[in-house]
Amino acid sequence: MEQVLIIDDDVGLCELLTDFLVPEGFQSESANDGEMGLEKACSGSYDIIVLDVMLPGKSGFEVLRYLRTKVSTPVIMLTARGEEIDRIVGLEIGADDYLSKPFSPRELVARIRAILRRSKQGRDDETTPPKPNKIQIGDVEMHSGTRLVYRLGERIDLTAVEFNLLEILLNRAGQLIPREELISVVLGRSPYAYDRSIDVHISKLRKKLGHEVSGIERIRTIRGTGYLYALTSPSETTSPLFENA
Amino acid sequence: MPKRSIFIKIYLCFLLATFLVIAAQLSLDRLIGPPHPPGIHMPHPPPPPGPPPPPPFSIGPRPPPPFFLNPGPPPPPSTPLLLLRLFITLIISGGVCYWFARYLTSPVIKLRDATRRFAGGELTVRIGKNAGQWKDELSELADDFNSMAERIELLLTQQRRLIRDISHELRSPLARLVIAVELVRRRTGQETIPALDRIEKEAMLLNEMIGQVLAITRFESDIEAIQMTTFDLEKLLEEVTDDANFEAHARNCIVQFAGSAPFTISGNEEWLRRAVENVVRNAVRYTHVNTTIDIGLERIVHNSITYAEISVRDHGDGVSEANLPHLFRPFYRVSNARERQTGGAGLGLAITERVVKLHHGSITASNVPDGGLIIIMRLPIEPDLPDQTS
Repeated sequence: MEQVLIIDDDVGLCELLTDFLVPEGFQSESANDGEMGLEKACSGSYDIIVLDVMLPGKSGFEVLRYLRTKVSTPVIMLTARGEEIDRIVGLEIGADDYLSKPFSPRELVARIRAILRRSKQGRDDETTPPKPNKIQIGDVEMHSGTRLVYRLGERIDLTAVEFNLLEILLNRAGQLIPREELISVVLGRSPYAYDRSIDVHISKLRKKLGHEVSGIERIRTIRGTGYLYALTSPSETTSPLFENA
Repeated sequence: MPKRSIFIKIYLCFLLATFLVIAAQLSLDRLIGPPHPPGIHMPHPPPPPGPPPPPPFSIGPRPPPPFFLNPGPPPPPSTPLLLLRLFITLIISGGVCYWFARYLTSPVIKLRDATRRFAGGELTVRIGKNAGQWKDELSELADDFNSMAERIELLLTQQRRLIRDISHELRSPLARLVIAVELVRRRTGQETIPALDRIEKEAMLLNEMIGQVLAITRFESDIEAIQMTTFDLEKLLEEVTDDANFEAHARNCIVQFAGSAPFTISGNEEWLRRAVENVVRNAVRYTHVNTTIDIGLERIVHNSITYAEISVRDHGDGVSEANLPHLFRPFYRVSNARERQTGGAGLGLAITERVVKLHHGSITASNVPDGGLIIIMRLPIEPDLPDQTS
């Protein structure tokens, strides 16, 4: 049974969510402030954490920032609707997804399932003997077996979402991948209006890998459609390039 | 120059005063001074015949000590000389009076500038004290202005904070309510579904309203701090179009944007996005099923100012002419029944109008002859933007 930790100062909401989650096959525990939440979360026995941004004392962002230095448990942030900055900041710090309050609990369950499926995939990859599955496009080298990514021999730290996103992009480098497809495959949900999280993940990838490769844009935005990873041959980039301007 | 009128008045008064004093002095010179120079003058009566009266005359009008240092030639203050003297004094007193008038009016001008900025929404404006200036009525007035401004700022921020806090707090019970509805849904049968759907829909409407109240209070309290940057308006419209299409597809409608070239504009991207989004979502809400919403972007010149003109046109019923001017008022409802059916929160266009005004633009709504409403936003473009030159 999957363990969910809810960190929210709204006791009533925690109770209701627990009522909702238990019949869905989750075991749920709650913490009503940041301090207690961190303590519980760091014990590491949870599969997923639902974290509210607005917490008394330590804010949700602070909790998340600290949490990320300790454990890699997936986190869904709860933000106030309309506060787009909160969502972007949350994803930047390392949240896996976000939901704006008030949210439908069915939607929450769907998101939790999608993230758990994803992280389980990752873990399965770790337990099964690493397949020597290596992709190299341009200056980036990806080892699916070990889930490690190198750029010009230097290791790049990516979150689970970023890794999955990069995997699709690299596997189909040079092809246009529709935004909808990226959202459904990487985030495990259907796209909806005013949702910019995939774009935030893309921009984080750009930041981590450098905006350009061999003088061309690494990940190109095709307006209104999707994204395209530049297909360059590895030989072009054997010499170190310093052009991530 | 109506702008400096009090300065001009004081200046002219001073000038006039000095001028009058000088003039009076000169004419006095002319009237009283001349008798001093002795007998060469015409109207001198011939000395009375007979022996000259010896001693008493020595005290009388004697030639040697006339005025102070009367120069050699007896002074017939001829008109050119008089004018020259007048001119020189006028120049000197003109300078002195200018300084005086400046000195007296500068606190008034300062006060006026501060009042204007305050009225324009800059609530943090205060009048600084000049070091070494002693207390007078004007400096007291400045102090009074400062304490008034302090009080108004405090009241307004408190009020905004209250509205914001209330709105935030309203969200918590709403979040619980939505979860509770889901729990009920799980435990009851088919017959409750319509009612539960309704509860959920109303909760979402309430949530949207809270969101808009929060947005409008945030806009008003941030108004001074809103950052203007340059960005591509065309790209923004493109993105808004994509987003709106999700909603439009549900009603079998299409949002179309006819733009092609990058269009750099200076403004606040986040707020302008929200402003356009509100108009477009409104259009999606009111357009008839199976129709299109057309978004346009054009560069127009009006009264030698270049504007970016964004138009959003729907194919709905339009709005009656009587209602058109009120469309941008908060919570203004064109038709109660219809609005509720389609679920508008009532603040969207009001926010849009404020954002457009912040960018010194204008917004108008009008009916299209062949059906539908068109909303046109005009945003002035600064002439020195890079894309203009390239």
